[in-house]
Amino acid sequence: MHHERLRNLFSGYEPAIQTIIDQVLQLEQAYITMDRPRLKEQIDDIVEDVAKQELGITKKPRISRA
Amino acid sequence: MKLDRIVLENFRQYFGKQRLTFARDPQRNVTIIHGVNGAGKTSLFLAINWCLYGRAVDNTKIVENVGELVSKELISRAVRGDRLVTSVELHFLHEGERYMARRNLRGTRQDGASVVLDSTDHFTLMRTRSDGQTETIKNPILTINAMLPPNVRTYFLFDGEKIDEFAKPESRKDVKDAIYLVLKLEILERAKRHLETNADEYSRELRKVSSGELAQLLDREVKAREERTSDEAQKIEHMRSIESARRKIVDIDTTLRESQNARELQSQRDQIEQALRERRGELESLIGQIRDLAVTSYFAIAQPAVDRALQILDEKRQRGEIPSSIRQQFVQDLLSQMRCICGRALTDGSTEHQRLLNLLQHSLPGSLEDDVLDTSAKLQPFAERVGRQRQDIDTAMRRRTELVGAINQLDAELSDIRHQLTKSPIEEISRLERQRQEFAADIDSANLKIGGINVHLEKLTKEINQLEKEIARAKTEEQRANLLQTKVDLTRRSANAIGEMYERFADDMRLKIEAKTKEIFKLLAWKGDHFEDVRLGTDYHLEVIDRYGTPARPDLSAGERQVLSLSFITAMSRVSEEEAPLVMDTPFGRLSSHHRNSITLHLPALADQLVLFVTDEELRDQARSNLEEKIGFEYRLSFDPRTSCTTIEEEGV
Repeated sequence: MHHERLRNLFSGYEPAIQTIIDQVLQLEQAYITMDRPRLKEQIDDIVEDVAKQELGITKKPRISRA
Repeated sequence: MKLDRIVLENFRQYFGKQRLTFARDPQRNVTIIHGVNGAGKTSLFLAINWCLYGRAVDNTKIVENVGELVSKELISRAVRGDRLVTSVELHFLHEGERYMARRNLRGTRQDGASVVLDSTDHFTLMRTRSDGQTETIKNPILTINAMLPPNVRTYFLFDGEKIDEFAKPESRKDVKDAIYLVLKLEILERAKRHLETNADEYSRELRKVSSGELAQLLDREVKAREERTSDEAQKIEHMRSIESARRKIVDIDTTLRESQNARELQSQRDQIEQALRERRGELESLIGQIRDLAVTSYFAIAQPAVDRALQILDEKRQRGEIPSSIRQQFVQDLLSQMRCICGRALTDGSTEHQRLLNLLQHSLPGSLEDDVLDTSAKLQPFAERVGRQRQDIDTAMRRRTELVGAINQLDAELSDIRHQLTKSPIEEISRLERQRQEFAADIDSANLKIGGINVHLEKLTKEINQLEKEIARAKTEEQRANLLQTKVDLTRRSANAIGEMYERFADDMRLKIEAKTKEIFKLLAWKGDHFEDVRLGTDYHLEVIDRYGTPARPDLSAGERQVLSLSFITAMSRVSEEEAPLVMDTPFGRLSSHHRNSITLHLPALADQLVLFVTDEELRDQARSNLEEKIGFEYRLSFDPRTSCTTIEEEGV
């Protein structure tokens, strides 16, 4: 699977970076047909969740659906 | 994505319901759909596209004229006002899960065989879970985009006669776009760009909130608290000094009381000091009373208005415009009983009766009557209260003057006693009195300092309370700043990671596609060794090199360009490892038998699923024979000129 290959491409990076990249790539894939998708807020949701986990503010794990 | 089944209902020339199953068996993965020109091959091809993507997706147009999707036979059989439905249902598998996409278009039959379509079509995407339950996908368009985006579909569902663009000299951008979309380089590039944009935004916000204010506030708080602790220590020290001085004064007073020469004066001083304490206590209490009276006598200001209001009410009452405390209800009761308040009967038209009627006419209704009567009742004691309060203040002020005078008198007497004791011919008495006065002066000085410290302490306490509030706010902002800093760090590192991997990945993909295109082109092109190499440059220029080492693309025939394009598309599909069908409309129309034979021989093994829309002429002899073992399902589109409708018939059934 090409998606798996993309994911494996970043396996050398720390989990937080892998999570962000994986979820942002899924988001970009979903909006690939739009010339200028406005994804700032959706990317912010992804980054904020991971950042809060990094700071120990929330323990809720974000479930990734590949 | 692997296609499983399609069901058409009243779609163009497919009247009623028509079904077709696609071959999915890896050993027999080819579906052949035969049809003469105009039989409905392109309509069926369009049905797959319309079902998945609708009339248009963003800038990609799928259907030119939606109105032409509705079966003309259906329209002709309907009468005015009938509701018509056109639908396509596509069953497919994706990453091991079964899906069903359904799109329908509704309209209302009008006069003159026309149809007014509803403003939008309706799209549903369902997934069958592993437990057999079916669920509706909440965002079907985004899900389809993630599986096979409309701008990628053109590399998997295409018209065979129009795919030679990749092999044209000006095709560099098309080749690059294809690789970017199919190999997901585009999403990597966009992800990097969008992450960088978010990181810039976080940095801007961070600059606004991270001013180091919290550290400054905490410093100020520490200093204010230290100052307060120091003040409190000084205050305690002064209070101890006062206590010590007071004890010494008491000791001196005791000694003077016991001294025969000072006893009389000391006794007088004791009495005067007692009287002074009483007067000062009384004065303090009196000042409190005066303050209370002054605070509560604000209504005295309103007295002129109250007097005027009472005057107006009296005048109106005298004129009979408002009742003199007689209720409207009471008058009504007397009239209904036709009886006077004294018990005498009233006669109609009598003076008394007329008087009651006048009273009723001038009385006020319900609550307003109550308000008028209540207001009068409340305003009367108000005026009296103002007068009383003025008298109380005058009395208190007079007493205050008396007390101040008495205190001054007692102070003067004390001063005289002090003077007499200081000037006493007995040295010991004089010395003790001077000491006493020094201790008293020390007490006054310490009290003065305590007063100053109290003012400062009050100011410090207010400042600390304010600082605590500001620190709480700054802490919240600092938490936000910490979060923003982490977000900046994560987004920058994510964008950098994509940047680091992107070049390597893009180049790796390009080289793999190049190698695969070359391999497939060598299989499919009948000239074999004439073409030595296929190159895909870093600028995405697709080139064929002949045995002389020169670029051969300008010399390629239309058929060879089609084969090169097909090789490139198939190579992308293989390299991307995406499970996708290869659906080709008129795949061999322009190809000679050499190419047909090689393509039919090799293509089934190069695609996960192959769907070919062909004319009988396209697929015959050796080409047909090559595919024979790979065909899972074969259909014929049968057009009936009598009804202008096409039916799908399975071959060999």
